[in-house]
Amino acid sequence: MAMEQSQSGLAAVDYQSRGEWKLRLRENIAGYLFLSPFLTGLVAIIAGPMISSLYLSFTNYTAFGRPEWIGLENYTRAFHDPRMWSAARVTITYVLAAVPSVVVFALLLAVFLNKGVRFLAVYRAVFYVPSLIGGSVAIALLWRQVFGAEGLLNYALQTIGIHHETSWIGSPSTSLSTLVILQTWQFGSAMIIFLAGLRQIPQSYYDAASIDGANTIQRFFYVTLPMLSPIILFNTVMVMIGAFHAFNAAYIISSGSGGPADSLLFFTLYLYQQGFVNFDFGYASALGWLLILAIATATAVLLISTRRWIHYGEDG
Amino acid sequence: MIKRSISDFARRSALNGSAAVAIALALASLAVRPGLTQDISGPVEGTIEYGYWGNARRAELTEAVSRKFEEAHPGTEVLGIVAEYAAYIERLTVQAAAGELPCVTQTQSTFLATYATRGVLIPLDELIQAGKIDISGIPEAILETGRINGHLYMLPTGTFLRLIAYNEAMVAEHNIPLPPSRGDFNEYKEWLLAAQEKLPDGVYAGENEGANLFTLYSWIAGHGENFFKDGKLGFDPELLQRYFEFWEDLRKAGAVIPADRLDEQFGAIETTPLSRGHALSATRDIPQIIQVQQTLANAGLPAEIKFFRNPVVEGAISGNVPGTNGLSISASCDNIPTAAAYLDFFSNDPRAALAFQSANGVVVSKPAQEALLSSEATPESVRESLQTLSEVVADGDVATATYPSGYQTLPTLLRRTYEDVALNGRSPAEAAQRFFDEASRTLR
Amino acid sequence: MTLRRYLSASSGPCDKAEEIRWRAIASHPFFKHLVLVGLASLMFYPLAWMVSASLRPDVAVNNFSLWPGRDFTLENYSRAWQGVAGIGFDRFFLNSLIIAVASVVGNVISCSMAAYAFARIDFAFRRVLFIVMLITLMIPYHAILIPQYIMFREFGWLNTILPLVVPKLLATDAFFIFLLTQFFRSIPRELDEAARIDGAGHVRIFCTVILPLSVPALATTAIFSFIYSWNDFFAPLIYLTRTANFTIPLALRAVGDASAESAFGALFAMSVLSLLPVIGVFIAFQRLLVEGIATTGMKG
Repeated sequence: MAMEQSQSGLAAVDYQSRGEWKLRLRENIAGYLFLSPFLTGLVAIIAGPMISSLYLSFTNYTAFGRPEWIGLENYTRAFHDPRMWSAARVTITYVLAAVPSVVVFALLLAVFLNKGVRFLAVYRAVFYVPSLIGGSVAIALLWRQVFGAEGLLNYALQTIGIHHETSWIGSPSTSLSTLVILQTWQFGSAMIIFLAGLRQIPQSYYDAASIDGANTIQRFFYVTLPMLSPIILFNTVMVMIGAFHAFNAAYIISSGSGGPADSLLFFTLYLYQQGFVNFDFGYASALGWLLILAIATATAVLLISTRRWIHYGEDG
Repeated sequence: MIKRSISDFARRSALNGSAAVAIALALASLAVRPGLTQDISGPVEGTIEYGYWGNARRAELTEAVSRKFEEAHPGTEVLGIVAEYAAYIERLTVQAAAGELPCVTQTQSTFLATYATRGVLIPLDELIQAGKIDISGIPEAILETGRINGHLYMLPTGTFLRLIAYNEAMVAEHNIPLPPSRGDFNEYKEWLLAAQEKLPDGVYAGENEGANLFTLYSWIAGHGENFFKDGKLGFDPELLQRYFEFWEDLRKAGAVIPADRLDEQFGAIETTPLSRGHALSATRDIPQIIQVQQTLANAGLPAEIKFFRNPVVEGAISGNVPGTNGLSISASCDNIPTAAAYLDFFSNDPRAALAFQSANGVVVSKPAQEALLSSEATPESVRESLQTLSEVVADGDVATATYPSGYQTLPTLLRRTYEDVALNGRSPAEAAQRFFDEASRTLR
Repeated sequence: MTLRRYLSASSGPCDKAEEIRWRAIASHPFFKHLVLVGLASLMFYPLAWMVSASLRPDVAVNNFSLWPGRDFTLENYSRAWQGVAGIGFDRFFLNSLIIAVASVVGNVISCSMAAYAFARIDFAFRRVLFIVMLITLMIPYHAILIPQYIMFREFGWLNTILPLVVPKLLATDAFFIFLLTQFFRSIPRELDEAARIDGAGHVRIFCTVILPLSVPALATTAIFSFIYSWNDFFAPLIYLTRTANFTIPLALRAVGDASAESAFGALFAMSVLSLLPVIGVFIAFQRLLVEGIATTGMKG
């Protein structure tokens, strides 16, 4: 059942006729008509600030004066900046750990819940609510309550005989892991998206597979996964972008410092420090564009390497 | 047809978009205004905006003051804009960059210079000379915290003075000797070590101040040195090295909060070890002891907090370092006479003092202090704070403090540097040098 | 069938029998519920603790229990409800609601249109624009914050809700464009073809074929839009300066300011209060998430 993704889309149309030009024009008009709100927004709202920030990355700008052109200096400075590399390492580690956890958890639970369980709605809500609390200040208190030196985890460990007296959040070796757990705890929104995707798989596909003699596991691998693959790709890309952008939790839990010992210095937090604490907006803008470059590369790698496995229903 | 007009539209919007940004950037650069260009002796009328930070209670009190001002000056309107502190700073930066600051802006000595030196605020000297703002009731040392390069950019309205708070109830309970007030650093260290021996497991004699910039300031001042000179660090790296060693010795002896629990010391007051009964002492601002006592009392823990003065070496003036909150007028203000009148009212008018109840640092102007002390409605906590402050000031036990531009980068820098020492084992000497290297780049 | 019967169903160490037994266990309702309940409790504990903490007068932080204790009090909530600077929470609620609803409407309409174009129409530069759309997702907020603020200032939109709402109408939330594109692409093209044979153009296909089949995806878009808009703190912070225009997150943060006298209990009460409306919306509309119209006419 391997299917190739059709690039042009309208494969069935015969382009060799004289009506080809007319068809093309009609398609273009239709396309741009449907796209007009997006294009307006792109040009009027996004392009300006994007171009601005790109321009600023080549300048020395303290936000209160005139930007002063310095060419590639911000970028070379970034490459020689040990803290930049340290921040990059923290973010990449976080991405590599958090993305698979979130996507796998969300997928497994969505499949589990989709089979029809009593109280489905309750479970769905309970698993989703943690992802709503994300940016709140209360999260820092909550997380310390669980992972602090006198927190729930240490208490629970003690009851089974393991004495762990240090704070998981305050030790540089474990602090990032607590944030990965925090992100995983918030798998709910990815799960909801998977559930919606699962609902769109026609029952007739499962029936056909059963008739052919497939069992549950085979049905999962031969019907569910391929049909869900566009959504899996979406979730993976979005969770990954979100992980690259992670800011709030680290900011709140480290009180803006990125500590302990820069173990929570996410790239966006470093950007924030450079821009809003050191008032070095030129450098901050350059860091921003380096981040965009990194994300774009990662996304491209992801999209290209999984191209053969993504099955779009449009190809029948 | 449609296609062409769509692309036309797109092109025009693109032009508009990037033109807008170009214009904006040019305009933003014009926010650097050299001095007053408005008539300062205009009538006090019209609307002004006042941006400040605080919680709902402080917002209530501030609005009360604004209403009293409107009564005193009919025809004026004050629009208050409140935000929580961290959010306030971010918004302040964004608005300042765009030249959109409210007329009256709340500022703090710790970040004043950063904005004042960039022309975002106007100097108040002309207004003072013209008699629009009366500063006679404010002590000179306090006024100095609002001066940058000899000009006054902030009218101080409240001060926070860092002393060392300790839990007296716990001291009594465990038979610990009283701490040395204004002793020397050895006595302070000895006291901490001696106290630790009498304290139960899980309670420490002090919070770990190695990462706390305010305490470092007290250390420097207490050694008779200047923290800053000409906008750069004004002391020897060796002094910082000794600071790290001081706190490292205490940490290794188990007398202060361990390194993996440093994060508990930052953040809300109620979550700090002192407020939870895990530490016997810690540096605190005068008004903060109210919250500390309340949190302890609610948890049923010993809740009597007192202060002792910061240690000094022979010949140093004081280790107690003041910071101030105050009001400034932004360079983009279009109604300076009213803004100036508001500043004057807030600082000196007894009605304002009674309405505000010293909710943002201990009030510094004499008329305000007298109004609060003589009124019966003033809560006990405010009275106590006022008294503590006046005692310290009367003794002359206050160091002069300056906060140059870029100061706001130092708290995080110190925390990071100390964490490097305590968690990564870097030598204090090397850490001190790194601190200096980075500070020299960010203090500008 | 009881669990024990399942467990004893195997006769020997035979692969197939093991597999049957394992699958039987795994699909038994009791086992399923056990796992789900266990996981749900673990996930829910932090939140449950937060609710109980908000009901205590002021928190003894070491207390892990979920029971608020004798000193059960609603004082934190009444303090929160009083609002900020004389403006009550009903006003903030209304502000948040207006912005959120406008965001939902804007997003659903403009993003589904753009997604349809990407998924179903072959127009010039489609791949390029898709990539551009993806790139807009990658921009870190703090890098464009100031230029964006200055731009809105030039438009004259400061102190209004326009910067919060207009971008939604113009499909700037590429997240939803991407989401809907992926969903639309999984709808079989045969249905399009069938409609086309009946003489339908793109608009009709969009309205009568694609949209009805995408109710779960549209519902997801609507719910997530609502929640993002409702929880958004920073954009309202810099664009809505008049206290009377505050949204709920703004007001709640002001109530729970940590630099002035704050109290734990109040902070947690704030968080619970800000969560309730979004949970409510989610629960009310979650049925839509799972009501998919199963496609018929797709014979194997």
